[in-house]
Amino acid sequence: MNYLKDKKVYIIIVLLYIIITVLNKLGLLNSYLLQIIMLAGINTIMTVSLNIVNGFTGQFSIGQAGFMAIGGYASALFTTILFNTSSWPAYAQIPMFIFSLMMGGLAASIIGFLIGLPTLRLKGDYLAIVTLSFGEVVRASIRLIDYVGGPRGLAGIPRYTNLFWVFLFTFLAIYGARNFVNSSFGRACISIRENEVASETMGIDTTKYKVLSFTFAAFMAGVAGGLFGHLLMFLQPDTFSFLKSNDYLVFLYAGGAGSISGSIVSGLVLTIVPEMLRFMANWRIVIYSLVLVMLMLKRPEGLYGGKEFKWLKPKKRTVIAGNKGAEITN
Amino acid sequence: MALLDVKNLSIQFGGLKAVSDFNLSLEDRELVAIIGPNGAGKTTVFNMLTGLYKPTEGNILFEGNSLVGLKPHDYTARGIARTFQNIRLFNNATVLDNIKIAFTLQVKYGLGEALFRTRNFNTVEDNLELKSLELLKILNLDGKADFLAKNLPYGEQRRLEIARALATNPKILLLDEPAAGMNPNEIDDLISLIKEIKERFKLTVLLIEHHMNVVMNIADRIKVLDFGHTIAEGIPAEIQRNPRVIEAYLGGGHVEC
Repeated sequence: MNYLKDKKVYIIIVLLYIIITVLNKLGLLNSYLLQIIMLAGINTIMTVSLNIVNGFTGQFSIGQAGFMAIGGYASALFTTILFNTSSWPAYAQIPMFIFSLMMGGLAASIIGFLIGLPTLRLKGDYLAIVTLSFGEVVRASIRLIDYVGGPRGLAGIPRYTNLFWVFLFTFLAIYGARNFVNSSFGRACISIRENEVASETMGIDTTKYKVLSFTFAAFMAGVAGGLFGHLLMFLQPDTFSFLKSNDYLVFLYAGGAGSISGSIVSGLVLTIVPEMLRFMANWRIVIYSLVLVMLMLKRPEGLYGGKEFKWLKPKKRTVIAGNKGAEITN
Repeated sequence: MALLDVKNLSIQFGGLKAVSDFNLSLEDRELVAIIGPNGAGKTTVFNMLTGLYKPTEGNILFEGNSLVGLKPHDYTARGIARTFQNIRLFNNATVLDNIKIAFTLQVKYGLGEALFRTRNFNTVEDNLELKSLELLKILNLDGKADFLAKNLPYGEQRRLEIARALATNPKILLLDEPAAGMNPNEIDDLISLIKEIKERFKLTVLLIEHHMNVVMNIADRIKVLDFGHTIAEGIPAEIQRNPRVIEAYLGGGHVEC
């Protein structure tokens, strides 16, 4: 029983996956709704990745969609441009898809590293301006590269992303973020957020950890971009404008900066609810914005600010430590 | 050879020379106090000794190696830790995490191990928690391990600052006004605490303090700063009688009517 209790979350995730699949097979969940669920997963990955930089490391980065674009295009490069994988047999397509996602993540993280190294010495508003410009530079540059379709966009990307992959990568992103935050790496990042001067004097190479968190987050965003491209089967540079980055900022702060739980909830809810409000036509934007204003007034720290779901918290080690401690004092 | 050798340390902010020709030689296990009126440049000296300010002139030799130009975290890695006069804790982290953060230098696992929670990761983390709790116990804070640092009372925040500095495993501990804002009872506790940790961790201590009973009680030597200049140096009994020190603290005898 205890085992089941420990693994409750994993069981819920698997059950959720099965329920959605069955509903879809029975025709109760049409492909439009399924697509929204998958987008919600991708948006969750993006919000979690932004949370690592903004929420946990305390740097104000606002160009996350730029990394998503790099990841999307880099992975499409492997499945669509360099190799025409849609003509490949199915057993070769999937490994290539996973490989391309990793390449998307890698490309984004390399760019993240190169951008982060000089700019993370900047603080606050300055970093915001640099990351904002970075996102726009990415978008504008892709428009100029004819090889990937330029401003017309890149069509004909095979649809490899399905519910399973979205579930898997969303889970991995959350799991990875949780483990990162609850390690010496994450604690170092939190110390930078809390007090950079004290962090340095505690022996923490703040530049190194800032670049690390930036690079790690860029990797996640890159993978999310790859999933995004292989879901919509089409990439257009203007999709990744500042508006997209802005969406993720809203998701992050509505959910609560510094809370992974908040990013999950807002990534899911804020993707799905506006779609459900579609019957109200243009009023939905008004209502969506009003809800956000009210949320910020009532809970300026975000829905889950400073809180975490139990399964996202580190395991209590004090029991072990307490026992060993007793041995030592005796 | 002295553990720390500071030679002609000076710093200039624009036209203001905040500290000029500060010399200090710290022997192993010594406790030296720096006193002086407000604005004398004491904290500026600390900021230079921890790499936060780069001196305009002079040199800092630690175990024979020059530290000038290194980043603050390099100073800490080599064994110089400090506390802050205006408390700088990691407020929204727990007391335990504040200590764990200061242990970061000694944590040995890679990012991959952390992301996949390998056995080595778990062993290191268990050990880390054990060491952190032990340190908190020494400073009488073990009951508060799960509190957020910002929710601690003032005196305990000051102790946590000391605990955190100790976690970096220093050879020299710089204490910047550890008794500020404390009542006489708390000050007595602090004096015995400083004596205790100095013995237990084999520390050399450099102390800035305004409370003379603290300074006179525990300092082996005292340096007096005024307007950035060293005006006196010696054992506590000498300093108490030094006319220049009295003048700096109480003002000169020259009165115009």
